[in-house]
Amino acid sequence: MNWKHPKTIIGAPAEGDVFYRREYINAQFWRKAARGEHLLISAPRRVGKTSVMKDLEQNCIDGFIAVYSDIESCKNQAEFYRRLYNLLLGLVQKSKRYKTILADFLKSRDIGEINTTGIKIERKDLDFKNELFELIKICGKEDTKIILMLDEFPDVVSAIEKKEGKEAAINVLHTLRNLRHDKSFSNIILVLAGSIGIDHVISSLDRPKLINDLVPITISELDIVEAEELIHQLIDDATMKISTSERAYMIEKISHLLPYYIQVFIDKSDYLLHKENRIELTREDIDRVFNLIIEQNSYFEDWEQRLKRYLPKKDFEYCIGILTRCAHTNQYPLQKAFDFSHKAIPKTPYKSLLDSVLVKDGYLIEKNNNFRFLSPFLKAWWQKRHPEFEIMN
Amino acid sequence: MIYFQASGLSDADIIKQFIVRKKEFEKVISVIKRDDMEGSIQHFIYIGQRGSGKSTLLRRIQAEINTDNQLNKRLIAVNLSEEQAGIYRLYDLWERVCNELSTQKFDIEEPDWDNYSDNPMDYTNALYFSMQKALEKKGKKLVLLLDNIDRILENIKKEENRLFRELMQNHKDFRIIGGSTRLSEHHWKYDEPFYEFFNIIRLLPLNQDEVKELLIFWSEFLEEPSLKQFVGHSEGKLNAVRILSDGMPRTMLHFVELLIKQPNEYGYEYLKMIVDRATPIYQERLGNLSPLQQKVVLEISFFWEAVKVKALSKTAKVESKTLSAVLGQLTDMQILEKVKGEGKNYAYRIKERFFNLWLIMTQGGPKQKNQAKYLTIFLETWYAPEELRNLYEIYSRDLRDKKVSPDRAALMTPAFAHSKHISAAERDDLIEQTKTMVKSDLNYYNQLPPKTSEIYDRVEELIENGKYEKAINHLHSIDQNEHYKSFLLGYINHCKGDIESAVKYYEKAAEEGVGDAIIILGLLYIKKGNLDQVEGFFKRVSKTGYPNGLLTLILMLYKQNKHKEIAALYVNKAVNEFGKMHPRSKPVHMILSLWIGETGIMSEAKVVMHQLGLDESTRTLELLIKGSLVHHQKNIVWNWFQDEKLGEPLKEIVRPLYYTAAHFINSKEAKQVRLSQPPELEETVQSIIENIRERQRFYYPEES
Repeated sequence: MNWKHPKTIIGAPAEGDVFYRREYINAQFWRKAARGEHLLISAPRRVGKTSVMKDLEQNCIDGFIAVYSDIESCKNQAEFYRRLYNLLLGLVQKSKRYKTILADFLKSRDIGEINTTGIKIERKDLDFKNELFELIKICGKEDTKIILMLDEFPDVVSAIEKKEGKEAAINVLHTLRNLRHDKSFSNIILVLAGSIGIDHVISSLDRPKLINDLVPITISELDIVEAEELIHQLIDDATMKISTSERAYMIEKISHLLPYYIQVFIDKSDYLLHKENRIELTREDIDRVFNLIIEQNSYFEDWEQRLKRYLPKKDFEYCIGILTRCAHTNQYPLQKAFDFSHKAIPKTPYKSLLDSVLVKDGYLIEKNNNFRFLSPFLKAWWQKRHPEFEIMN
Repeated sequence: MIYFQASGLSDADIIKQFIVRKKEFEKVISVIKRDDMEGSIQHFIYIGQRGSGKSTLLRRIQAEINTDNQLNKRLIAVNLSEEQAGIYRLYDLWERVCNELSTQKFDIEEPDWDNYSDNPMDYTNALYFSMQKALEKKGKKLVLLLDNIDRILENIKKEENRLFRELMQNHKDFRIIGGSTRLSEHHWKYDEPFYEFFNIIRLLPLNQDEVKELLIFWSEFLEEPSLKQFVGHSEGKLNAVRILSDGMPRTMLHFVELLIKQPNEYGYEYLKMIVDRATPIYQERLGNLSPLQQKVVLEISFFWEAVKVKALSKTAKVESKTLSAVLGQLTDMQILEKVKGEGKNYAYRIKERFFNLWLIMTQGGPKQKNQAKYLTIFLETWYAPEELRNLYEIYSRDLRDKKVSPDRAALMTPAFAHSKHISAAERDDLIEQTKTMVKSDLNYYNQLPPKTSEIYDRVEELIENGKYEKAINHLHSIDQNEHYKSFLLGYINHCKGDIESAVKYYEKAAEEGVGDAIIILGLLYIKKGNLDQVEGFFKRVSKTGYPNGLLTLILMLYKQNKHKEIAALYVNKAVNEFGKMHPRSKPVHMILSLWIGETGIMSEAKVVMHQLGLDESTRTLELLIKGSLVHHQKNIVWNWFQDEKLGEPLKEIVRPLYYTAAHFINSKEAKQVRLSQPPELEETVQSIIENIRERQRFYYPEES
């Protein structure tokens, strides 16, 4: 049989026909961008930030041009400004109108070729920070709005802090804030995105005001209907088949409906069926796939060990207690986490353990003061590892 | 030496010789064929042990791209299988890729290192740009095949990994297909750039059919017909090889070669040779563990059987909590397996038995003393049961023909004696013969285990003296699945009051056909009163065909007036088994039928009574009459006594029952009979009546 695999994508951002677009996220984005608001997309890894941004970049509405870039390798201010400069230049160069406007600017700087990486603009004598300002001044006179989406921005701030010191990091944040408030910048929208909570990075710099003008864009998990649509989209053309009731069961099993987990589940299900030359996915298969994913992730152990290695005993015990409670419930409220801190008595303030360890490091996800496991597979593993009786009084 | 290596083969050869892992290949190549790399680009990593076929897969993908005109129009494959050793920076990788592209006539403008020496990241970018440009010029995208990608990601600094990922996120120039022996932390650590970034394809052990297909192919390809013969004739051994080599093609060839060259070996030297063969595989497995994990694995290996945390903690001298964590890790790594023990605690043992054997034989432990034990384990792991039986036959014959030297006999006899694939009688026979042979040498003589019959004698003596633990230890020295051993273990536990364990062993004995065990078990189950258990037990007994087992059990239920609904299912079958011709068969059938509410059978009662009356089977007659009265059949009974032919002889045989029956009937005739009852029978009749009434209350409590 000529087996047709589903169009899954694992790990890399989903684009084109493998991306499941949620119009309300795009609409929310464009609405805010149209108001000239600068945006912040902060969500754990695997939630699908990059895919959303790439979709926005490729499907700009009229009056906007946009560029997405993962800038995580920038580790000092110079590299950061150079990257921004190149990105902006690369973007506007694509527009005929801007090309004409910028002709003199480019000529004066002896810049000929621009490629997608911007690497060719490597004149060491240029001060890219100033150049960026100059460029923005010219671009700022136009009506078209320019969107710069900078992915993994908090990593860059952290790297700068590490390499050039706290002041340098604060300086970058200051510069960006000033730019956002500069009139000549009014047609440029900054979208800062990252998986390490930017709040966390900023709080370590003790400068919360430097980002409090950014408007958050929320990318939540899929709802059941969306999850079903995504499954349909993935397997539409594939050999494997999943009946309605089995789909519902799969969705129930995955429970935390991030596109990534659905993609993984479909991919592994397809692999199983292909291996066994069967078309129809059964309920037993779904259980098998779920267990297989957990079994093959032998590294879950490290998620526990890591806490043990890095945290003082009491903090460790508190975190384990919280994780076990989250593993055995759908949602674990903050109030209970607080109450539990009076029993486990961690050394570090409980909220800081929740935010800076469990959420930041990808164990839990927080929504409306409720906590849950980010990964359904880690949750299932944790359930087995820490049975419910551990948390019974 | 049979040897197979994928690298160095031509495209045509690799395509021709690619026999297994077809689906794993197909999964990746279908994406490569379908996807134009303008949207999302899926990157893959094959994960599998050494020799699992990763390099072959990567080479196969390369060959497909090289030879498929649709693919090579738009793709170029670069396989860095040999060159990856010197990759320590990301630019090393791009340099090698650029070199490879240059040899394939791509026009690469290599940047000058001197311009970037103060900023290697810029040099990396510049190299990438050159590569990108060269690819664009030819209108091609790159498929980068990276064996041991985990080592590359490990060597490259974290910030370069960030750049690596950044290039993958920002550009659409290349796809990575990697190979790795393990899932490195780059994939599973949340703060690593490549966290859950790749699509992982695990290369699982080959299954039996795949192994056969592969060996037959090799046989033809390498012109080694013995391989094909081996596949055809050694199903059991083939499976042992598959398990031993974890289904990994390369290692499997080594073992198969050994089997072909020395097919009839089975002694300790042979075992040592095989263990030596396994050393590189197992050494690597051990080497991948942390020192603490190694220690725990080794300690568990000495137990051989599954061991609980507490016991292990004591010998390994590792604190329970830490130990539990390590055990969890090792279980997740598939090195250990968790076995549900009694209570809520789990026990652990080494999953692959041969690995356990290798550990105890090579990593210390009391070697000499246990040679025979290892040999037994080896024989049972290495050979299929029927092959082991063959070896036993050969050995037993050689022993009889005095072809075995005393030293060899002193080692081999205990090894076979401990095998569960020979019977207790065969065991005793081997021991007896060997004893006769080595009786002059006390050293050898003492190495021989006692015979089964000797062990049983001793055990019975110990039970009589209430020394249960000692008795149990003795019984465990019998390795064969002996039914009497199971029964005795059940009995000892029963005596000790450990009913749960007793049931477990009785069950085993019952499975092995020990009738007494079936009956005792039935009693225990009926006493405990769990409907499902009783029903399940009946089903089993009805299948085993133990003589009268079913009937005995139904009678137990009857006596206790329990589980009528289960009895109802089996009454007919039980009576049939009991034998329709047996004089008591019908009466018993009738009483049981009455009890379960099947009254139809009573139509035959008169004929039966007639036969019984003539045969003067007093006890059976009594049974039927009393039983009938208990189950409210007073009129039928009365009619028997009133019957023209049957009545008189019946009154003669069971006179007290005649008067008893009259007490249950409210008629003039009956009253007359009661009045005529001789005074000397009064006490007897009263006592029968009371007994019947009492049993009526027992069977029909709702009426009382």
